Amino acid sequence: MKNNYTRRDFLAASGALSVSFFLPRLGNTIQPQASANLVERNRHVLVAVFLRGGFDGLGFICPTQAPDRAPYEAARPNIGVPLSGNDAALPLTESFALNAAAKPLLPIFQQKQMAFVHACGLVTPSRSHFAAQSLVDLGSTRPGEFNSGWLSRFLKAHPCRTAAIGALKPASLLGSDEPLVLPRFKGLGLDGSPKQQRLMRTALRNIYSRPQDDARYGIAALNMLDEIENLALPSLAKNLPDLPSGEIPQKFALAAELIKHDKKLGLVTLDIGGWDTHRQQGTTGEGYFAKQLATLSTALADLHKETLSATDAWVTTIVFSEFGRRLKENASRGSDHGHGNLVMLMGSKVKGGQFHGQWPGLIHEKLFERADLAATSDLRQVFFEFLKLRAPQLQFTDVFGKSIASAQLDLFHRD
Amino acid sequence: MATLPMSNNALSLLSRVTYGLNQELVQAFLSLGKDDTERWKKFVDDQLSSANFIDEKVEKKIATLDLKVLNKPLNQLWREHNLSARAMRQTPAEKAPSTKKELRAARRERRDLALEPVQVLEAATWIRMVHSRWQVYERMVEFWHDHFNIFGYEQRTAPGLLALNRDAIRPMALGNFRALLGQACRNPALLYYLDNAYNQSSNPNENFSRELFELHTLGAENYLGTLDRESVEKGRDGFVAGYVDGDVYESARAFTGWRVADGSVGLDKNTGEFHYHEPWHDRFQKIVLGQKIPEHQAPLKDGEDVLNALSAHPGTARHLMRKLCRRFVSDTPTEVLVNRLAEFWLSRKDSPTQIKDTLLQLFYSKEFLEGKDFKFKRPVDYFASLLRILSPDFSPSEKFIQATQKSGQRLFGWKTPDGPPDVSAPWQSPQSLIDRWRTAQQIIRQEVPGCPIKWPDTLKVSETSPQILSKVLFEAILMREPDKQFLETLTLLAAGGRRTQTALPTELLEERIQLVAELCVLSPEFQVRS
Repeated sequence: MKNNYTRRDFLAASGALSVSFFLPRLGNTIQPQASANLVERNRHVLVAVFLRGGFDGLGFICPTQAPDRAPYEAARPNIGVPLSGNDAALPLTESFALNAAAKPLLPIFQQKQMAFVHACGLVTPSRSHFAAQSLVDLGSTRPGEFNSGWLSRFLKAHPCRTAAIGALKPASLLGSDEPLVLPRFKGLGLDGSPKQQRLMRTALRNIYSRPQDDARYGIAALNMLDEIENLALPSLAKNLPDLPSGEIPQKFALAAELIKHDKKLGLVTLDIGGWDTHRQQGTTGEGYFAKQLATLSTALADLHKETLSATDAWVTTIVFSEFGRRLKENASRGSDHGHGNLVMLMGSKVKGGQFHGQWPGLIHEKLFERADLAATSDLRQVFFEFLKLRAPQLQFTDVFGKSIASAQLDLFHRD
Repeated sequence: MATLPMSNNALSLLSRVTYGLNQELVQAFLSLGKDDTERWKKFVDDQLSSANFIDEKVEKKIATLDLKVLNKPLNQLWREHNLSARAMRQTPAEKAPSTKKELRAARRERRDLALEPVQVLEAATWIRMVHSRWQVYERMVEFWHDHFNIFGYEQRTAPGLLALNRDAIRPMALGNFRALLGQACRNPALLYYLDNAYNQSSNPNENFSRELFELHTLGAENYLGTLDRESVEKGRDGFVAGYVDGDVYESARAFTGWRVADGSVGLDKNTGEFHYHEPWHDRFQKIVLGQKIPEHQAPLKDGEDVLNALSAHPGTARHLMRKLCRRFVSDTPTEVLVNRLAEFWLSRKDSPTQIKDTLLQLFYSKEFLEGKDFKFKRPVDYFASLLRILSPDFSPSEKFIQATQKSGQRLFGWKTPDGPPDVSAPWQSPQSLIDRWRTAQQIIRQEVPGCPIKWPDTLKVSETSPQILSKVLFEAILMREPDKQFLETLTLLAAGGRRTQTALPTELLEERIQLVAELCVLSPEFQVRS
C-alpha cells in the first residue's frame, strides 16, 4: 500500500482541541458593525455553560459590607478576594464586588447586559460531584426521577438545532434525538477525496439503516455531517482563522462562530472543567483560579461582543456549576465542596446590572450546616426562566415534572 | 456452567473478554477442545492462570522500543524525571533565554523528560493490549486503572502512575481487592492527584476521602447526602445503610499524614515515595461508618481501619460488582447478577485470588453466556480491535497517539477521578464517533505511522471482482457471514458506486480494497463487542 503523508490537513493540529474550520472572526472588520438596537432580532439562541467541578462563586464575587465581610475575611485569609491592594475587587453594587481577574465582565454588568442570581442550589443538597452534576444535568430533585437531561426534555417539546461543544455529549442532552451539531475541530468529517467521502457516506447510511441494528447513533452522526454541509460555510481550510489558543477560548470562539453562521441554531451547551480547587486555589494575582477566571471572563466577554454585533439573534448565556465551595478555606489554601452558588446571566434580554434572588448571608447561623453558603433559589427555576425565552408558553412541569416550583425570579425582559 | 448454543456465540464471548478477535485467537480457541463449552472453560481457565502474565513476544517488542524507563524503581523515576525536570527550570535556557524559540524548546524538553514515565507506559500498554496473549488479564489491568483513575500527564503524577501500574495493579489485577486498595491508597500519584499529600490534622483536605468512598469503594449509590451520622441506621447485617458527609470528614482525619516524601514542608526526604508523616496525623478518636477508631493508634492504623471497614461493606461489593458487570456484560446489568456476585466476592474477601475467582463466576454465569447487550467499544477498545485484526506489527507512534485521542479517550489521560465512562452514550456522540471513523480510515490508508496493514491471506491479488473482494474482506474483518444488504452495499462501494460486476482495473484495486475495509470497520457490527 502506498503511503501518503502529505495530505493537506492530516494531523496538522496538535492536541484534541485544535480548531480550524471556522471563519476568521469577522466581527469587527469585514461585517458591517451594527449596534444592538438597530438589528431586528427575531430569534433566541440559548447558551448554557456548565462549569464542572464546583466553581467557587465566593472567589468570583465577594461581599463588601457588614455583616458578611468580617466572616468572609476570617474564613478566607489566603483565598479571599481583597478589597484593597493590587488585586482589589471591582465594586458591582453597594454590597458586592467582582474579583479583579474577571474585569472584562465589569462593563457588561454596568451596561445592564449581565446579572447574577444569588445562592442557587439543588433541592436535595449533595457534596458529591457525581451526584450533584447528575441532578443538575437531569434537572431532577432526587436520583432516579428522570433518565433524560433537562435540555432533552425541553427539546422534545420545542425542537431546535443544538450544538454541544466539548468532546462528549453532556448528560443534560441525554436521551435527545436531535442531530447535534458539535464543535468542529480540525478536519471534522470523514477521510478521503470528496468523491470517496460521498460514496462512504451513502454506504454508511445504508448499513446503519438496516432494520435489525439499533444503530441510531450512526445515523445521528451522518445527519450531523449533512448539517455541517448545509451550513454552507465558505471554505476555511486554506485560510486559517486567527483563533485564540487554549481550550476555553476555543470553545467559546466555536460557539460564537456557530451562532453567527447557523441561522437555525437555538441552543448551545459548553462544558468547562477545571474548577475543583482543593489546593493552592490562587484566587488572585497569578494564582490558578485567577488565571482560569480571567480566561473564562475574556471568553465570555468576547462571546458577548461577537454575538451582539454580528448576529440577528438574542443570545442569552447562563453560567452555572453543580455546587459552590465551602466558605472556609482548607489547609492547602484550597476550598472543599460546598452548597449554594451564584448563577451568571448574560445578554440583552437579561434584567442586568443587578443581583437577583435572595442573599442568605455568611454569618454563622445562616450558613448551610454552618459551613456553606445556603441555597435560597432552586437552580431549576433559573433554568426554567431561561428556557422560557425560547418558549414563552413553557410550564415548569413540562420540563421538571411534578416537583414544586420555587418563587418566580423574573430574570429576563419579555418581548 | 450452561451449555453454549453455537459457535457464533463463542466468537461473541471471545470478543467480550478480549481486545478483539483475530485469526490467531480463534485458532487457539478452536484447538482447546471438541465443543465450545469445553473450549470456553479451558480458555477462561488458561487466561486467568498464568504465573506472571508475561508474553515473551510482547516483552521483546517493548524492549526494542527502548522502554527501559519501565523498569526504574520509583525513587529513580522520581530523581531522573521529576527532580531533574524541576532542576531544568533553573537552567539559563529557561531563566534567561535569548529568544522565545529557545525558551519554548527548553520547556518542551523539560516536559518531555517529566512525562516520559507515563508516555512510555502508554506505549507499552498499547502494545500489550494489541499483542499480548493474556488478553483478559490486560483488560483487568485497564479496569483497575479506570477504577483508580489518575491523570498521569503531570510532572508530579507521572512517576507514581507508572509505579502503580507495575508494582500494584499488574501484580494484583486478579488478586485480592483489599490488598490492591491498600497499595493504591499509598500510591504517591493518587495521593497527589486527590490532594491527600497535603492532608494534615490542623485542617484536613477531604478530597481523597470523598473519592475513596464515592468511587473506589461504596460508590455514589450508597451516599446518603448531608444527613446526620446519628440518623443512619444499621441493617440486620450490622452494616450502616450508607455513608454521609460526616463519614467523609472523619475518614479525612484518619488519612492525615499519608503523604509523599517530596522534600516539602517538614521533610528532607525527597524520594517521591509514600511517607507517613506523624506530625501531621490527627491522633484522636474517629467514627467512620458507625465504627469507632480509637485515639493514639499505631502509625497508619487509622487509615487501614477505614479501608478495612470500607472493603468489608456489602455496598462496596455491590458497587464493584456492578462495575465489573458493566465492563463485561451490559451497560445495565441486572441486580440479580450483581447481588449474586457481590455475595461471592464477600465470601472470598480474604482470599489471595478473590478477583480471579469472582471473574470465573462471572464468565460462567448464565447472564454472561447468554448476554445479548453487546457492549459498545470505547475508543481505545475500538482501535485496539482494529489493530488486532489488521496490523499484526503495530507499534504506537506519536501520530498514532495524537490521532486516536481525538475521539475523547486517551490512556491515563482522563482528567477527573471518575475515569472514562463505561457506558455507550457518551462515546456514541456524533463528534466522538466521526473522529473514530476518520482515524480508522487514516490507519487503513497507511496515513498513521506505526500501523502497517497486513491484508488477510484470503485476499488474492488476482481476485478483482467487486463482490468477491467484498465478501473476503468482510469475513476476514468481521469474522462472520455477511448479511445481504451489507454485502450489496460493500459491493457497490467496491465498484465505485456503479452496479457492475466487471473486474476492477489494477490501478483502482488498492483504493477499493481500502474503501471496503474501511466500511467494514466503520460498520455497526465493528463498533460493538458482538
